[in-house]
Amino acid sequence: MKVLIIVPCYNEEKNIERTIEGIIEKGYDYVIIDDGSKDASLEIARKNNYQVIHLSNNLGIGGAMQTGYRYAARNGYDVAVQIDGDGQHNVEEVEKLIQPIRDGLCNMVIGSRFIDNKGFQSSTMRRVGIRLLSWLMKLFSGQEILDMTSGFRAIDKSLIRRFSDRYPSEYPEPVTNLQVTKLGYKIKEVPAMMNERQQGRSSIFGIKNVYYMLNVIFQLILIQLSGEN
Amino acid sequence: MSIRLTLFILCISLIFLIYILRNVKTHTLSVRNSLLWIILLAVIILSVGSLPLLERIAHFFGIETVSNMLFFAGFLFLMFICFDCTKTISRQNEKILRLTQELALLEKKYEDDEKTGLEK
Repeated sequence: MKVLIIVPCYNEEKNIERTIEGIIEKGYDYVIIDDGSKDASLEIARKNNYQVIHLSNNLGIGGAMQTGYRYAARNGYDVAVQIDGDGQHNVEEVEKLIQPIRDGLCNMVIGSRFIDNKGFQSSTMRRVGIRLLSWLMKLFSGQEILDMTSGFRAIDKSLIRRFSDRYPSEYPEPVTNLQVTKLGYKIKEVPAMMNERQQGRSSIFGIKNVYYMLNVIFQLILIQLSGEN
Repeated sequence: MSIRLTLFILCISLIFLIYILRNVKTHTLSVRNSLLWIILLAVIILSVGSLPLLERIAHFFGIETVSNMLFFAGFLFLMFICFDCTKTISRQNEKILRLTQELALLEKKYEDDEKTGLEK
Protein backbone atom coordinates (compact mmCIF):
# COMPACT_ATOMS: atom_id res chain seq x y z
CA MET A 1 0.00 0.00 0.00
CA LYS A 2 1.36 3.36 -1.05
CA VAL A 3 1.09 5.82 1.83
CA LEU A 4 1.45 9.58 1.50
CA ILE A 5 1.75 11.93 4.44
CA ILE A 6 0.34 15.37 3.68
CA VAL A 7 1.72 18.18 5.80
CA PRO A 8 -0.26 21.42 5.52
CA CYS A 9 1.94 24.29 6.56
CA TYR A 10 1.25 27.96 7.11
CA ASN A 11 3.95 30.06 8.75
CA GLU A 12 5.67 27.13 10.46
CA GLU A 13 9.32 28.08 9.97
CA LYS A 14 10.12 27.08 13.55
CA ASN A 15 8.45 23.66 13.44
CA ILE A 16 8.62 22.40 9.89
CA GLU A 17 12.15 20.96 9.94
CA ARG A 18 11.49 18.90 13.08
CA THR A 19 8.21 17.58 11.68
CA ILE A 20 9.64 16.61 8.29
CA GLU A 21 12.86 15.10 9.64
CA GLY A 22 10.69 12.81 11.83
CA ILE A 23 8.71 11.70 8.77
CA ILE A 24 11.83 11.11 6.65
CA GLU A 25 13.37 9.08 9.47
CA LYS A 26 10.35 6.75 9.35
CA GLY A 27 10.70 6.42 5.58
CA TYR A 28 7.24 7.60 4.55
CA ASP A 29 6.48 9.46 1.32
CA TYR A 30 5.32 12.94 2.20
CA VAL A 31 4.47 16.27 0.68
CA ILE A 32 4.36 19.66 2.35
CA ILE A 33 1.59 21.97 1.21
CA ASP A 34 2.88 25.45 1.84
CA ASP A 35 -0.27 27.54 2.06
CA GLY A 36 1.31 30.80 0.93
CA SER A 37 3.36 31.20 4.12
CA LYS A 38 4.62 34.69 4.80
CA ASP A 39 7.61 33.52 6.83
CA ALA A 40 10.60 31.44 5.72
CA SER A 41 8.76 28.06 5.72
CA LEU A 42 9.03 27.69 1.95
CA GLU A 43 12.71 28.70 1.82
CA ILE A 44 13.51 26.21 4.59
CA ALA A 45 11.68 23.46 2.73
CA ARG A 46 13.43 24.26 -0.56
CA LYS A 47 16.84 24.58 1.11
CA ASN A 48 16.45 21.11 2.63
CA ASN A 49 15.20 19.66 -0.63
CA TYR A 50 11.90 18.64 0.95
CA GLN A 51 8.95 17.61 -1.22
CA VAL A 52 6.89 20.78 -1.27
CA ILE A 53 3.91 22.14 -3.16
CA HIS A 54 3.69 25.88 -2.97
CA LEU A 55 0.28 27.57 -3.13
CA SER A 56 0.59 31.10 -4.47
CA ASN A 57 -2.55 32.20 -2.58
CA ASN A 58 -3.43 31.35 0.97
CA LEU A 59 -6.34 28.91 0.59
CA GLY A 60 -6.86 27.94 4.22
CA ILE A 61 -6.59 24.46 5.67
CA GLY A 62 -9.34 23.00 3.46
CA GLY A 63 -7.89 24.24 0.18
CA ALA A 64 -4.38 23.19 1.23
CA MET A 65 -5.42 19.67 2.23
CA GLN A 66 -7.42 19.26 -0.95
CA THR A 67 -4.28 20.09 -2.95
CA GLY A 68 -2.54 17.27 -1.07
CA TYR A 69 -5.40 14.86 -1.79
CA ARG A 70 -5.29 15.76 -5.48
CA TYR A 71 -1.56 15.12 -5.50
CA ALA A 72 -2.17 11.76 -3.80
CA ALA A 73 -4.89 10.82 -6.31
CA ARG A 74 -2.75 11.74 -9.32
CA ASN A 75 0.23 9.81 -8.04
CA GLY A 76 -1.66 6.63 -7.22
CA TYR A 77 -1.48 6.63 -3.44
CA ASP A 78 -3.72 4.22 -1.51
CA VAL A 79 -3.69 6.01 1.83
CA ALA A 80 -3.27 9.69 2.69
CA VAL A 81 -2.42 10.79 6.21
CA GLN A 82 -2.65 14.36 7.44
CA ILE A 83 0.04 15.53 9.85
CA ASP A 84 -0.01 19.20 10.77
CA GLY A 85 3.18 21.14 10.18
CA ASP A 86 3.22 22.50 13.72
CA GLY A 87 4.52 19.36 15.42
CA GLN A 88 1.21 18.55 17.18
CA HIS A 89 0.97 15.05 15.76
CA ASN A 90 3.37 12.18 16.37
CA VAL A 91 4.70 10.46 13.30
CA GLU A 92 5.30 7.33 15.44
CA GLU A 93 1.53 6.91 15.57
CA VAL A 94 0.94 6.98 11.83
CA GLU A 95 1.11 3.19 11.66
CA LYS A 96 -1.79 2.96 14.14
CA LEU A 97 -3.84 5.12 11.79
CA ILE A 98 -3.05 3.13 8.68
CA GLN A 99 -3.57 -0.36 10.11
CA PRO A 100 -7.40 -0.36 10.23
CA ILE A 101 -7.48 0.81 6.58
CA ARG A 102 -5.01 -1.92 5.63
CA ASP A 103 -7.26 -4.44 7.36
CA GLY A 104 -10.21 -3.12 5.36
CA LEU A 105 -12.10 -2.15 8.52
CA CYS A 106 -12.89 1.42 7.54
CA ASN A 107 -12.33 4.27 5.08
CA MET A 108 -11.11 6.87 7.54
CA VAL A 109 -9.18 6.67 10.79
CA ILE A 110 -9.06 9.58 13.21
CA GLY A 111 -6.33 9.92 15.80
CA SER A 112 -8.21 10.93 18.94
CA ARG A 113 -6.98 12.74 22.06
CA PHE A 114 -10.02 11.78 24.05
CA ILE A 115 -9.94 7.98 24.09
CA ASP A 116 -7.00 7.47 26.41
CA ASN A 117 -6.97 11.10 27.52
CA LYS A 118 -3.21 11.18 27.33
CA GLY A 119 -1.00 13.98 26.07
CA PHE A 120 -2.11 17.54 25.31
CA GLN A 121 -5.86 17.86 25.82
CA SER A 122 -6.44 21.46 24.68
CA SER A 123 -8.24 24.15 26.71
CA THR A 124 -11.42 23.53 28.71
CA MET A 125 -13.46 25.81 26.50
CA ARG A 126 -12.36 23.99 23.38
CA ARG A 127 -13.04 20.61 24.94
CA VAL A 128 -16.58 21.69 25.76
CA GLY A 129 -17.02 22.83 22.16
CA ILE A 130 -15.63 19.57 20.79
CA ARG A 131 -17.97 17.60 23.07
CA LEU A 132 -20.90 19.58 21.71
CA LEU A 133 -19.82 18.72 18.15
CA SER A 134 -19.54 15.04 19.10
CA TRP A 135 -23.03 15.16 20.52
CA LEU A 136 -24.39 16.70 17.31
CA MET A 137 -22.53 14.10 15.25
CA LYS A 138 -24.07 11.31 17.29
CA LEU A 139 -27.50 12.90 17.06
CA PHE A 140 -27.34 13.40 13.28
CA SER A 141 -25.60 10.19 12.22
CA GLY A 142 -25.66 7.79 15.15
CA GLN A 143 -21.88 7.51 14.97
CA GLU A 144 -19.76 8.45 17.97
CA ILE A 145 -16.64 10.46 17.25
CA LEU A 146 -14.95 11.90 20.31
CA ASP A 147 -12.33 14.09 18.65
CA MET A 148 -14.35 15.87 16.00
CA THR A 149 -11.73 18.51 15.21
CA SER A 150 -8.70 16.25 15.07
CA GLY A 151 -6.62 16.87 11.97
CA PHE A 152 -4.63 13.71 12.53
CA ARG A 153 -6.47 11.53 10.02
CA ALA A 154 -5.83 8.80 7.51
CA ILE A 155 -8.12 8.12 4.56
CA ASP A 156 -8.30 5.38 1.97
CA LYS A 157 -8.35 5.58 -1.81
CA SER A 158 -12.10 6.03 -2.16
CA LEU A 159 -12.04 9.06 0.13
CA ILE A 160 -8.89 10.44 -1.52
CA ARG A 161 -10.85 10.43 -4.75
CA ARG A 162 -13.87 12.06 -3.14
CA PHE A 163 -11.89 14.72 -1.29
CA SER A 164 -9.90 15.57 -4.43
CA ASP A 165 -13.18 16.44 -6.01
CA ARG A 166 -14.98 18.03 -3.07
CA TYR A 167 -13.54 19.20 0.19
CA PRO A 168 -14.85 22.05 2.34
CA SER A 169 -12.64 25.14 2.47
CA GLU A 170 -13.48 25.84 6.07
CA TYR A 171 -13.73 23.59 9.13
CA PRO A 172 -13.09 20.53 6.97
CA GLU A 173 -12.64 17.97 9.76
CA PRO A 174 -15.99 18.08 11.58
CA VAL A 175 -17.88 18.83 8.37
CA THR A 176 -16.41 15.89 6.43
CA ASN A 177 -16.84 13.57 9.42
CA LEU A 178 -20.58 14.04 9.20
CA GLN A 179 -20.74 14.18 5.40
CA VAL A 180 -18.89 10.94 4.75
CA THR A 181 -20.65 9.06 7.55
CA LYS A 182 -23.97 10.00 6.02
CA LEU A 183 -22.71 8.74 2.67
CA GLY A 184 -22.00 5.35 4.20
CA TYR A 185 -18.21 5.54 4.58
CA LYS A 186 -16.86 3.99 7.76
CA ILE A 187 -14.88 6.02 10.30
CA LYS A 188 -12.87 4.59 13.16
CA GLU A 189 -11.17 6.41 15.99
CA VAL A 190 -7.91 5.27 17.51
CA PRO A 191 -6.20 6.75 20.56
CA ALA A 192 -3.44 9.25 19.76
CA MET A 193 -1.22 11.50 21.81
CA MET A 194 -0.95 15.08 20.73
CA ASN A 195 1.69 17.58 21.67
CA GLU A 196 1.10 21.17 22.47
CA ARG A 197 2.21 23.33 19.57
CA GLN A 198 5.96 23.58 19.78
CA GLN A 199 6.31 27.12 18.53
CA GLY A 200 3.92 29.84 17.47
CA ARG A 201 0.21 30.16 17.97
CA SER A 202 -2.57 27.93 16.78
CA SER A 203 -4.65 29.44 14.02
CA ILE A 204 -7.81 29.15 16.14
CA PHE A 205 -7.67 31.12 19.35
CA GLY A 206 -9.62 33.44 21.66
CA ILE A 207 -12.87 34.90 20.46
CA LYS A 208 -12.37 33.12 17.16
CA ASN A 209 -13.05 29.88 19.04
CA VAL A 210 -16.64 30.89 19.63
CA TYR A 211 -17.05 32.01 16.04
CA TYR A 212 -15.49 28.76 14.86
CA MET A 213 -17.90 26.70 16.94
CA LEU A 214 -20.98 28.63 15.79
CA ASN A 215 -19.92 28.23 12.19
CA VAL A 216 -19.25 24.52 12.48
CA ILE A 217 -22.54 23.89 14.29
CA PHE A 218 -24.38 25.85 11.62
CA GLN A 219 -22.71 23.81 8.87
CA LEU A 220 -23.48 20.50 10.57
CA ILE A 221 -27.12 21.49 10.91
CA LEU A 222 -27.17 22.52 7.24
CA ILE A 223 -25.77 19.16 6.19
CA GLN A 224 -28.38 17.43 8.31
CA LEU A 225 -31.23 19.52 6.91
CA SER A 226 -30.21 19.46 3.27
CA GLY A 227 -28.91 15.92 3.24
CA GLU A 228 -25.96 17.42 1.39
CA ASN A 229 -23.49 15.03 -0.11
CA MET B 1 -45.90 64.11 -10.56
CA SER B 2 -44.77 67.51 -11.81
CA ILE B 3 -43.28 67.91 -15.26
CA ARG B 4 -40.09 69.15 -13.64
CA LEU B 5 -39.69 65.98 -11.55
CA THR B 6 -40.49 63.79 -14.53
CA LEU B 7 -37.84 65.51 -16.60
CA PHE B 8 -35.35 65.28 -13.74
CA ILE B 9 -35.85 61.50 -13.34
CA LEU B 10 -35.69 60.99 -17.10
CA CYS B 11 -32.43 62.96 -17.33
CA ILE B 12 -30.80 60.96 -14.52
CA SER B 13 -31.97 57.69 -16.03
CA LEU B 14 -30.64 58.64 -19.44
CA ILE B 15 -27.24 59.67 -18.04
CA PHE B 16 -27.04 56.38 -16.15
CA LEU B 17 -28.02 54.46 -19.29
CA ILE B 18 -25.31 56.18 -21.33
CA TYR B 19 -22.82 55.42 -18.55
CA ILE B 20 -23.76 51.71 -18.59
CA LEU B 21 -23.53 51.50 -22.37
CA ARG B 22 -20.12 53.18 -22.33
CA ASN B 23 -18.89 50.64 -19.78
CA VAL B 24 -20.15 47.81 -21.95
CA LYS B 25 -18.44 49.34 -24.99
CA THR B 26 -15.10 49.59 -23.20
CA HIS B 27 -15.53 46.03 -21.85
CA THR B 28 -15.47 47.17 -18.21
CA LEU B 29 -18.92 45.68 -17.78
CA SER B 30 -20.04 42.49 -19.46
CA VAL B 31 -23.22 42.51 -21.55
CA ARG B 32 -24.66 39.83 -19.30
CA ASN B 33 -24.16 41.91 -16.16
CA SER B 34 -25.41 45.10 -17.76
CA LEU B 35 -28.75 43.59 -18.68
CA LEU B 36 -30.24 43.81 -15.18
CA TRP B 37 -29.40 47.50 -14.89
CA ILE B 38 -30.76 48.28 -18.34
CA ILE B 39 -34.03 46.53 -17.46
CA LEU B 40 -34.24 48.59 -14.28
CA LEU B 41 -33.76 51.81 -16.20
CA ALA B 42 -36.34 50.78 -18.77
CA VAL B 43 -38.85 50.13 -15.98
CA ILE B 44 -38.12 53.53 -14.41
CA ILE B 45 -38.41 55.40 -17.70
CA LEU B 46 -41.65 53.65 -18.61
CA SER B 47 -43.25 54.10 -15.21
CA VAL B 48 -42.38 57.80 -14.93
CA GLY B 49 -44.82 58.62 -17.68
CA SER B 50 -47.67 56.58 -16.27
CA LEU B 51 -48.53 57.78 -12.79
CA PRO B 52 -52.12 56.47 -12.80
CA LEU B 53 -50.83 52.99 -13.55
CA LEU B 54 -48.36 53.22 -10.67
CA GLU B 55 -51.14 54.38 -8.36
CA ARG B 56 -53.25 51.42 -9.38
CA ILE B 57 -50.39 48.99 -8.74
CA ALA B 58 -49.71 50.55 -5.33
CA HIS B 59 -53.37 50.29 -4.49
CA PHE B 60 -53.40 46.64 -5.60
CA PHE B 61 -50.58 45.76 -3.19
CA GLY B 62 -52.17 47.77 -0.41
CA ILE B 63 -49.39 50.36 -0.35
CA GLU B 64 -50.66 53.85 0.49
CA THR B 65 -48.46 56.05 -1.64
CA VAL B 66 -46.62 55.56 -4.89
CA SER B 67 -43.37 56.82 -3.35
CA ASN B 68 -43.53 54.12 -0.67
CA MET B 69 -43.99 51.49 -3.33
CA LEU B 70 -41.06 52.81 -5.34
CA PHE B 71 -38.81 52.78 -2.26
CA PHE B 72 -39.85 49.22 -1.51
CA ALA B 73 -39.31 48.11 -5.11
CA GLY B 74 -35.88 49.77 -5.13
CA PHE B 75 -34.99 48.02 -1.90
CA LEU B 76 -36.04 44.64 -3.28
CA PHE B 77 -34.11 45.23 -6.45
CA LEU B 78 -30.91 46.12 -4.54
CA MET B 79 -31.33 43.05 -2.34
CA PHE B 80 -31.57 40.93 -5.45
CA ILE B 81 -28.46 42.50 -7.00
CA CYS B 82 -26.57 42.08 -3.70
CA PHE B 83 -27.48 38.42 -3.49
CA ASP B 84 -26.48 37.90 -7.09
CA CYS B 85 -23.10 39.52 -6.32
CA THR B 86 -22.57 37.23 -3.30
CA LYS B 87 -23.31 34.24 -5.50
CA THR B 88 -20.82 35.45 -8.09
CA ILE B 89 -18.17 35.96 -5.39
CA SER B 90 -18.68 32.39 -4.11
CA ARG B 91 -18.40 31.00 -7.62
CA GLN B 92 -15.27 33.01 -8.29
CA ASN B 93 -13.71 31.94 -4.98
CA GLU B 94 -14.17 28.35 -6.04
CA LYS B 95 -12.54 29.06 -9.40
CA ILE B 96 -9.57 30.84 -7.79
CA LEU B 97 -9.15 27.92 -5.38
CA ARG B 98 -9.04 25.44 -8.26
CA LEU B 99 -6.65 27.60 -10.27
CA THR B 100 -4.27 28.03 -7.34
CA GLN B 101 -4.29 24.29 -6.67
CA GLU B 102 -3.73 23.39 -10.32
CA LEU B 103 -0.92 25.92 -10.64
CA ALA B 104 0.77 24.53 -7.52
CA LEU B 105 0.43 20.92 -8.70
CA LEU B 106 1.78 21.81 -12.14
CA GLU B 107 4.70 23.64 -10.59
CA LYS B 108 5.49 20.57 -8.50
CA LYS B 109 5.30 18.31 -11.54
CA TYR B 110 7.58 20.64 -13.46
CA GLU B 111 10.12 20.65 -10.62
CA ASP B 112 9.99 16.86 -10.34
CA ASP B 113 10.41 16.41 -14.11
CA GLU B 114 13.33 18.81 -14.07
CA LYS B 115 14.98 16.87 -11.24
CA THR B 116 14.58 13.51 -12.95
CA GLY B 117 15.84 15.09 -16.19
CA LEU B 118 18.97 16.26 -14.41
CA GLU B 119 19.52 12.87 -12.82
CA LYS B 120 19.34 11.19 -16.21
